[in-house]
Amino acid sequence: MVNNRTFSHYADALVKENLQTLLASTTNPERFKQTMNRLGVLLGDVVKKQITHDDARCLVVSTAEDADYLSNGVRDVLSESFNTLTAVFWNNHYSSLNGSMAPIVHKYLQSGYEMSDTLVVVKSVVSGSCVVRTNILALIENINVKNIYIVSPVMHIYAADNLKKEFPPEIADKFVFVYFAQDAVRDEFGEVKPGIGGQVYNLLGLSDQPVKVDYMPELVKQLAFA
Amino acid sequence: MSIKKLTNQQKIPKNIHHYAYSEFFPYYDNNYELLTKYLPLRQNLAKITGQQSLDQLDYALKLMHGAWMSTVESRTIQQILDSVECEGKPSILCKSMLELETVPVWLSDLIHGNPAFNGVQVSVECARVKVRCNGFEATASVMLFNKTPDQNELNNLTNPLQLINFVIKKAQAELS
Repeated sequence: MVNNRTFSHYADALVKENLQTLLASTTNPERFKQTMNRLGVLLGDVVKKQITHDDARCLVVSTAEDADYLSNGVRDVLSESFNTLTAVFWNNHYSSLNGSMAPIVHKYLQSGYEMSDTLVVVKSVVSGSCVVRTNILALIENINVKNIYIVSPVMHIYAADNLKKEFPPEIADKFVFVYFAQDAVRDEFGEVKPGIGGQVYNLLGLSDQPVKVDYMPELVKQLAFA
Repeated sequence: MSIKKLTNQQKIPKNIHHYAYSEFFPYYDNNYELLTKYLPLRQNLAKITGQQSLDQLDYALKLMHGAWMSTVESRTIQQILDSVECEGKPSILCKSMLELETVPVWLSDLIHGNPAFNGVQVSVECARVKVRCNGFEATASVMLFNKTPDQNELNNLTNPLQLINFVIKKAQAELS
């Protein structure tokens, strides 16, 4: 354990090097994006090995800010072996009287997503799991899903248990958490420390959440508007 | 439990009997189970939000619960709903005034008969404009579309992506 961080058994030397590069790229958005993409590829490799049926139909789910980088890496790997579709959500993440909220304001759901049987929910960092939970709720009634992979380079140590508590066992038992590092510290704003080095929006070079700035991932432009 | 429900029912003043009733909420460990297993809650939240999707109903429930529990002082239902409206970013309560249910004329004129917008669907549901195209859905309050954009803005709306970006930009006013 270093700085209250523990690593999963998926975290080899290359993974650890990339996690360190993330933390060293807080003022370099281009390097941060590239590193996130590489971590996505590495996470995708882990998920790919865990999907046992060749005819899996994967739906890679992410927020708008992760779509072109971390999520793209995961998608690239999975699409080599499986039928892989995309869902992207524009959440408004904020604090309210009843805690953390992340309503979906805009969304992109690739045609045929309802036929997916494997959800792969990708998130650059999972802290309180509010966004992940909301995005699963948006899909769970429309899809007959066998497994739900929650995929992230870094998670808070309680994130998995907190997410499981939000669902009955018949759904929570489908969760498979794939991550490289767990951090024990969270600041007063709910940000995991050291996590990915700060707020993902700023690290990617955005001034705020995608829903509050004019941000459209290239992936969605290609899939929906090309 | 049903006895308590009946006892409470009898405490409701006669003059509000025609619209007020006692309700028993069974215990569940989380919102997901409450919404999917106790259907009266889901059905009534769907009525006041105009939403069916579980994520939106959960959002409404969290806002409602937060408003309800935020103080021990007695409040009217209207005050609780006002608090829900205030805390929602965006608002989740359905506004059913008739004038808010039609697609703004300028938007309708822009889309219809223009081949550049083939495949784009525009509707107004519960006072929210919804623009859909190839799996994308962007939403914003219809109130934000009342004023016809100036000619420069209209000239820049020449394809579905520009229109979707326009809606996303409009919606930002609801999020702070």
